[in-house]
Amino acid sequence: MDERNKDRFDEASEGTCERVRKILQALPRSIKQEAQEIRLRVGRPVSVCCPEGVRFVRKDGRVSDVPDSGCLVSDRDDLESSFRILCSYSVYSHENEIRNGFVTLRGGHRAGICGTAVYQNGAVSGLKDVSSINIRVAREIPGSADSLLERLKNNIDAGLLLAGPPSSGKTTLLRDIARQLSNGVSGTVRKVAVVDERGEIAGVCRGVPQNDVGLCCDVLDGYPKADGIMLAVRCLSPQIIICDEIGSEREAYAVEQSLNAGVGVIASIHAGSVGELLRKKQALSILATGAFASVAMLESSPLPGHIAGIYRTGDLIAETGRGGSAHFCGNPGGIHGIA
Amino acid sequence: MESHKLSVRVEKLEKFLRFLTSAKTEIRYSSMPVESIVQKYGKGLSFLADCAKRNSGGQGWPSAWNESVASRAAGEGFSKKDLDLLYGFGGGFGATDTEGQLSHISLYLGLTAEALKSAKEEREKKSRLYQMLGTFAGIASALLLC
Repeated sequence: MDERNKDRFDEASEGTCERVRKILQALPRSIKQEAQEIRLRVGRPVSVCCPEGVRFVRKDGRVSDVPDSGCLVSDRDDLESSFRILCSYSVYSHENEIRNGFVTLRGGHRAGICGTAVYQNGAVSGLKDVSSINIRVAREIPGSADSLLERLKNNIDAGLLLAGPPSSGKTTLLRDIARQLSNGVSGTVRKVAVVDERGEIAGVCRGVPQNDVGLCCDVLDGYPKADGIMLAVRCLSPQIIICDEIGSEREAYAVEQSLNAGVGVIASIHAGSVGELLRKKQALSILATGAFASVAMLESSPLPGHIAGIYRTGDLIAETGRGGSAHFCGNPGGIHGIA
Repeated sequence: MESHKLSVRVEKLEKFLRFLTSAKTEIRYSSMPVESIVQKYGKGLSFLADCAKRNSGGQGWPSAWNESVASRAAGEGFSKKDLDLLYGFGGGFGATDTEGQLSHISLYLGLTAEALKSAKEEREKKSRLYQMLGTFAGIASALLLC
């Protein structure tokens, strides 16, 4: 597992220019294993984000907790060159992604790109003067959804909403759920459609999913979630649709259509706690569609995908009716007693 | 021999022109990345095939293109002026958005068409000259023998 993380870091660092890449690849193994992000900013030290905090990369291939004169500083040429590498030297073939601020790399890593917006007809048409790049190192944790699937068993077909704070492992869990369901690891093989608007679940690169999402999985890469869900329902006859971070009205409508077509939906949403989830108007409208029989609440932990509790949606909606959204008073471990 | 070289140059420029047209179509309709374009349409020119090989071997685009032009295109019949054109094209290929790329390719289609026209004119002019020189040399040697 650690060895694979080290390789993943090296793979992600391929998205940087040669000068920076050489030093990143020479970093100590322990840093590579933990690193979550590689950050380049014009005229600022190159840094690596680890669970314990930010580490600054030094020219001698080591890291320091505070920036000093020995740190590797990336300049404009480094950023421009890295940007072209991230786009596989084909900027035009990543136009839509760039407009949305990110590019997916081989291996499923995602590079967030920051610069000056270029407007055309009142909308962002591109960006110029790249000022910073954040490469998020993708991690696959096969088996991370084991306990969730074991507890939910066939209830998963009735829909599941994963709620959790940032970096709690929602996407990691969704990816593993897609893999297990479409491979038939836990029960029968299901036809799964992944609507991967931002390329984070499957990490498709030139038509090939870079992350293992199973054998019977169709990936709608780059589709807006609402459009992707509707298209999957109409054309792919899936049993389960998986997508990340839903919330808008259009998405709620698409989820409802999916329910009407008898297709289960597994999705994620940002929420730090059950109380926060129930205070969110868009979360309530999504829960009210009836497309999610259960809600799994994740919590921040060093291991992604740690489940704080699993709840029946009906119970949560009833709690809201009793005015319990401000301070959720139900079993904090949820009805399935997982804490 | 010299006449053959001129014919080869014309042939290579025609092939490069075809490559540019295919690249323009692929960029407009399928946003195909540069490496895939070179791999798909670069079989007719050895420097393009070499560049595709370097790309698939992990070498980045600008250095793969420049090294292939330097090592292969010169021996393939392109003139020094043509090589400058190839370097210029490689420098901007893939560097901008679709509109920018279509303009870039259109520019190089025009420049290559011009180079092709002058190569054809040179071939015509020189092949006539070489023919005349051959005829005169034949007459001269016949007169000397008589």
